[in-house]
Amino acid sequence: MKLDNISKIFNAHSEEIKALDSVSYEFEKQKFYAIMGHSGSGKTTLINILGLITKPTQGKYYLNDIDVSTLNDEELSRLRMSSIGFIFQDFKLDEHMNALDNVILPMLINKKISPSERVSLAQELLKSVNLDNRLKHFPKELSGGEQQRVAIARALANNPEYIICDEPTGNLDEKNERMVFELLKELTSNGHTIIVVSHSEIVKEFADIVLNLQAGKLSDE
Amino acid sequence: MRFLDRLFIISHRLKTKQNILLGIIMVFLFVVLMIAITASIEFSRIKNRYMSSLFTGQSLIAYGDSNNSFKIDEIDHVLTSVSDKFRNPISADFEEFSNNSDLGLEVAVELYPYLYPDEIEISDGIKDIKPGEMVCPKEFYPYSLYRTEDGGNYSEAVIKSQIIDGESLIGQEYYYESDKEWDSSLKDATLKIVGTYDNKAVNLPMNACFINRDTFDEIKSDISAMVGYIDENGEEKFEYQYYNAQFIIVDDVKNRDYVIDELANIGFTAESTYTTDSSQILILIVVPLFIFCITAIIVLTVIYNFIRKKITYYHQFIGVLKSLGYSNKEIIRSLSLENIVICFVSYIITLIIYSLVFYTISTDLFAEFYYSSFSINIPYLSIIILFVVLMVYIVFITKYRINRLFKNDISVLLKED
Ligand SMILES: Nc1ncnc2c1ncn2[C@@H]1O[C@H](COP(=O)(O)OP(=O)(O)OP(=O)(O)O)[C@@H](O)[C@H]1O
Ligand SMILES: [Mg+2]
Repeated sequence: MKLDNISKIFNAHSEEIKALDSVSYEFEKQKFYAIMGHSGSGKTTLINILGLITKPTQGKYYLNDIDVSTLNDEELSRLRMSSIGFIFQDFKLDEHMNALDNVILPMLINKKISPSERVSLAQELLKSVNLDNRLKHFPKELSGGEQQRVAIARALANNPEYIICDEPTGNLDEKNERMVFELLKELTSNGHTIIVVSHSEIVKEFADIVLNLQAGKLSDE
Repeated sequence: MRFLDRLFIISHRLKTKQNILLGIIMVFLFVVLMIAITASIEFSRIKNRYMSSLFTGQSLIAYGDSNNSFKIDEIDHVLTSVSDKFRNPISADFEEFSNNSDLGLEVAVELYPYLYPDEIEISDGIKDIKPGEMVCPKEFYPYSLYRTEDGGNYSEAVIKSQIIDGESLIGQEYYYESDKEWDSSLKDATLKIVGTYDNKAVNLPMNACFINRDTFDEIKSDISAMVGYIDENGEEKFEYQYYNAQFIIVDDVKNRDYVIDELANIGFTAESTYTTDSSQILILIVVPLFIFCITAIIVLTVIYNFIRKKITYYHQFIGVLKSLGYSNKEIIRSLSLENIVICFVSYIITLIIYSLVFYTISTDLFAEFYYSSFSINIPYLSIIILFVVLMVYIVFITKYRINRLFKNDISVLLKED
């Protein structure tokens, strides 16, 4: 993952907001990154660009040496499916599906996973986040910590290289927060690269590298 | 993505309140739409038949000097010209059919004179009806449309179980006793069924039989009415009135005006027999057509707004699917499938309700139509076309609304309302 002179400008109410200001950075693989900064400093914007959810106004973003601005929707979607797992602060699980089906959902578009493998794979993933006894539960029947662990299992469904988390522990207490960070930390040893946006000081205990965003500028700590 | 996988995605949402409501609204609107389309199509079909039918569009009543009536037969395009005594049938209450009194049925067979060759197509290649012979409908219902109910009220109904296969009656004889108190010169007649005809093809009621013209003449009186009046001495007196008009049948509706003109030349004023009824039938076509158009507009806008709201409501789900790596095409296909399934299920339910409504209407409410052999059919082709049009429309607006959502950044779709 390489950001080359990335800027993002929002135009709202005839006012220009520079959420990101010429950010250049190269992320190393299999590391746990923590991105910290004040509210409004551009963390979500940055992470959305990394996750192919937002397009930058200026600059180039290379994912696995591919300039993503050259890709069409089809190709972008495939890249998103195979390389990126997203984890949100408010989990964004599908309330109509149980835990197992939520984890199966991303597998449906992955040709590498055959239909017969899906259920056992999803069960395995949920087991790895200690939820093997909550397979049939719907999101509203799960605690916040449990929901976030389902979301982690879902993010891992297609075994993506990068796991991108926007304040994954923002809605959790300290005990659950540590559990989530621990799970994410373990993933780095399985070949995943973790990028976490967080306000919490606890993340520093787990992170390999802590980055700071200030008024759209990125710096090492 | 496999079809089954798409079904997997949508199956979780099919039972939401929103989708069930959409389904119910669709069923309601589709039913109204289909009944309206059936009514307008069928009534216009009936009107076309009615206008060209033998006993309406093709027949005339002419008034003039009866000594000149022989001249009418010489006019081109006149199939037959007779006294208007032959215009209306004789009603016969053959005792042989009267064993169903517990159903409240009243025996009534209408006897029509067979006026000219090929007036009806008779089974077994019979070309002419001889004296004492009778030809009845294939689906023969020798009863009145009115039946007495328990309370003594009348209702209109055709009891389907009492419809008789006319072929099975061939060879049977029926005795007609005429009203000699009215006219002592009348004769009785024994009538033997020798063949059947298709009453629907000529739009005659299910109880209409044809007999020989001379037999008809013998059993129906020339007296059309008896009128009472008070003379100059203050005494009550009666006077007979006789049939004095000519009943004329023209070979084709389009020659009717020509014949009317020719009749005027020999001193007859003629008029078509059933002119007023066609305007009533026109209302029967226009009103359902109007209802159909209004309903169609309502259906299209209601479904559009519902789907618009629904897709907007789905923006977060769509955002999540995008973040998981679903392409625009896959999302459109899956969500279109959801609406197609709802539309399809609604359509099946609609067909069931429609069939029930149709059955009730055609047997009870429209018993008179049925009886008069103007039976209403289900317009299958229109219903299939309607289904295809609705499906295409629903897929189109679903696609349109989702594409509009895709103009937003995915991060915007992911935000809460
Ligand atoms: N869609 C948008 N339209 C206009 N301005 C936006 C939009 N999204 C973000 N911004 C602006 O860009 C700046 C950075 O926003 P961003 O969401 O990246 O901040 P953040 O660091 O994630 O903050 P927080 O910690 O509160 O989540 C903010 O000033 C915000 O107002
Ligand atoms: Mg943020």
